[in-house]
Amino acid sequence: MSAAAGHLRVEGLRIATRRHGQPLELVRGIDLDIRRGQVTALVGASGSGKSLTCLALQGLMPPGVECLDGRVLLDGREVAPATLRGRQVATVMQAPRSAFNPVLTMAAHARETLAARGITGSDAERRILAALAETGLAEPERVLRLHAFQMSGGMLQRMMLALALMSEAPFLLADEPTTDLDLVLQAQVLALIERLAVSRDLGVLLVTHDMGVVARLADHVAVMDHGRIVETGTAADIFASPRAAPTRALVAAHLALYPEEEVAP
Amino acid sequence: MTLLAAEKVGRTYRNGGLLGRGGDYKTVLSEVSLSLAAGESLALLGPSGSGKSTLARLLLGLESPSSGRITFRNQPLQGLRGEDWQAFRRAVQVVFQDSLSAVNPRHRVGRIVAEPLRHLTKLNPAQQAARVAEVLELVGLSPEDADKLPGQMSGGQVQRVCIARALAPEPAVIILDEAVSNLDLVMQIQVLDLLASLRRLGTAFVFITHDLRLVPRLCDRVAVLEEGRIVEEQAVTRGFRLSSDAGRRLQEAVLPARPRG
Ligand SMILES: Nc1ncnc2c1ncn2[C@@H]1O[C@H](COP(=O)(O)OP(=O)(O)O)[C@@H](O)[C@H]1O
Ligand SMILES: Nc1ncnc2c1ncn2[C@@H]1O[C@H](COP(=O)(O)OP(=O)(O)O)[C@@H](O)[C@H]1O
Ligand SMILES: [Mg+2]
Ligand SMILES: [Mg+2]
Repeated sequence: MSAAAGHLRVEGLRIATRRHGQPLELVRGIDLDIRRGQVTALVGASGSGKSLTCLALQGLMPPGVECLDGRVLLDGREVAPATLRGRQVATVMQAPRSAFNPVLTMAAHARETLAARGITGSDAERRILAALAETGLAEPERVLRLHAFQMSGGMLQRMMLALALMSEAPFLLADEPTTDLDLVLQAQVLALIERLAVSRDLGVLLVTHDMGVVARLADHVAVMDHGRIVETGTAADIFASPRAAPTRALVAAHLALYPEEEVAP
Repeated sequence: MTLLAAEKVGRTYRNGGLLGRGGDYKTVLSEVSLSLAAGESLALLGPSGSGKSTLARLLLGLESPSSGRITFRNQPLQGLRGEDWQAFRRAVQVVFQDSLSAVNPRHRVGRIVAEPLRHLTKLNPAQQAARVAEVLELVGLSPEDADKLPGQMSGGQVQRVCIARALAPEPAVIILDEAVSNLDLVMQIQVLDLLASLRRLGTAFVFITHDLRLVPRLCDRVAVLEEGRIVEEQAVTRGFRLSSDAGRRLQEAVLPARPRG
C-alpha cells in the first residue's frame, strides 16, 4: 500500500433543492476531514444533511438535489469524487438490501468488485473467501449462492463490509450502518467495523444519530445541524465539554438514557 | 384487573417461499403466557426473529393462535361477537414501526386520525373533528395540522399522527411495535416521554423494542422473548439486570454512555 492516500477532505460543500419554487440550501458550506486509521463520526438529528454529505463524497446526488459548490481533496489534491468509488472509497448503507442488485448472487457481486480491480479466477475466489471469513460470515459457500432477499439485515451488512474489504479502498463511508439492526447485531457489526479499521488502517466516516454509537467507536466527531457543521472535536471532548447548542442537546438526551451513570464531571 | 392476556399461546407457520421445502412447519411462538393489567406498561424485548411482532398480531386479534388463547378482560377473543368485538377493536390499538406506510399518502391528517372514530365509535362528524383536534394537541401537533398531507410532514411528525390515531378512540392499551425505531434518538426520547405522560389517562402500553436503554422511560415490567418463548419476566427498577441468556446479551449490547477514557 505504498502510495495509498491517507487523507480525504471535502471543502465548502453546498447542496440545494427547490421547494415551492424557491431555492433551499440543505448543506450550507461544510468542511469535513477523514483520516486513515481513524473513525470520524458525523452525527446530527434526522434531516440535518448527513446522508447528502455522504453521497456528495461519492459524487452522487439524488434527483431534485444539486451540488452547488465544494471540492473533494485526496491528500491535498482535488479529485472528481465519482472516480473514487470502489477504488479509494467503499460504502456501507443503512438499507443494504437496496445496495445489492436483486437478480445477482453474492458471488456475482463479489466477482464484479474484484474484476473492477483486474482480479479474476482463482485469485479472486481466494480473496472472496478470505473477505467473507474476515467479516464473520459463516458457511461462505452457501452465502455466496444467496440473493439479497434471502439474507437477513445483519448478513447483508457483513456482506457489504466484505465487499468493502475486497475493494481494498482505504476509506469507508458507513451511513447509519446499524440503525436497522437489533442491538445485539448492532454491537457485532460495530465491533467488526472497529476491528477492520485497525487491521486495514481504514479511514472511516461513520454517520449516526446515536451518541451511543459515537461513544462506542468514534475518535473524532463532527456535529451537523440544519446543513452546517456546528462543532468538531475528539469524541472525549465532545462528551466532556460540548459547546454548540445542538451538541449539548444531543449529549444531554443521550446521557438521560443512562440514569445510573454519574452526572457530567 | 387483567386487560389482555396470552394463555399458553403457540403459533406455527407453514414454510413457503423459495427456500421452503413444502409441507414443513416453523414454530414461531410456544407456550407463551403473559398478562397485562389495566394501566400497566410492559416492555417486550428480544432479538430480531424472536417472535415479538407475531405475538403483537395475536394480541391485536389480527391473527389467531395455533394453540392456546388470547383473552381480553378475561373473555377469549374467539368468542367475541358484535358489540363485544367492536369494544375490543376500540380498546386495543397499535402503532407500527413504519409510520409512512401505515398512512394513506392521499388522505389529510384529520381524516387519517379520525379513521378509528368513524369505524369504532358513534361520534358524529363534528364530535370526530373535535376529538381529532384534541389528540393532535396531546401528541404535540397543532389542530391546524389536520389539513396537512403526510408528505408535508417529517418522519417524526407522521409517527405522532399515527400515535394520535391510536389514541383517538380512547383505547385501554396501545401496542407499540418498534414504533419509535425509525426516529432519531432525540426524537425517540421525546415520543416516549410523551407516551409516558399519557399514562396518567390510564392508558396501558406494550412497548416492543430491542433497545433496553429506552425501557425505563415508559415501562414498569419487562418480558424477554427468545426463539418464541418467554425466558424472563422482571420488574423495571433502578439498575435492574436481566438474567436469562437472551436478556444478558441484550444488556451487554447496550451502547456505552461515554467514550472509553
Ligand atoms: N432528493 C431530495 N429532494 C429534496 N430534498 C431532499 C432530498 N433528499 C434529502 N432532502 C432533504 O435534505 C435534508 C437533509 O437530508 P439528509 O442528508 O438525508 O439528512 P440526514 O441523513 O441527516 O437525516 C432533509 O431536509 C431532506 O428532507
Ligand atoms: N407469516 C409468516 N410466515 C412464515 N414465517 C413467519 C411469518 N411471520 C413471521 N414469521 C417468522 O417468525 C419468526 C418471528 O418473527 P417476528 O414475530 O417478526 O419476530 P420479531 O418481531 O421478534 O423480529 C421469524 O423467523 C419470521 O421469519
Ligand atoms: Mg440519513
Ligand atoms: Mg418485529
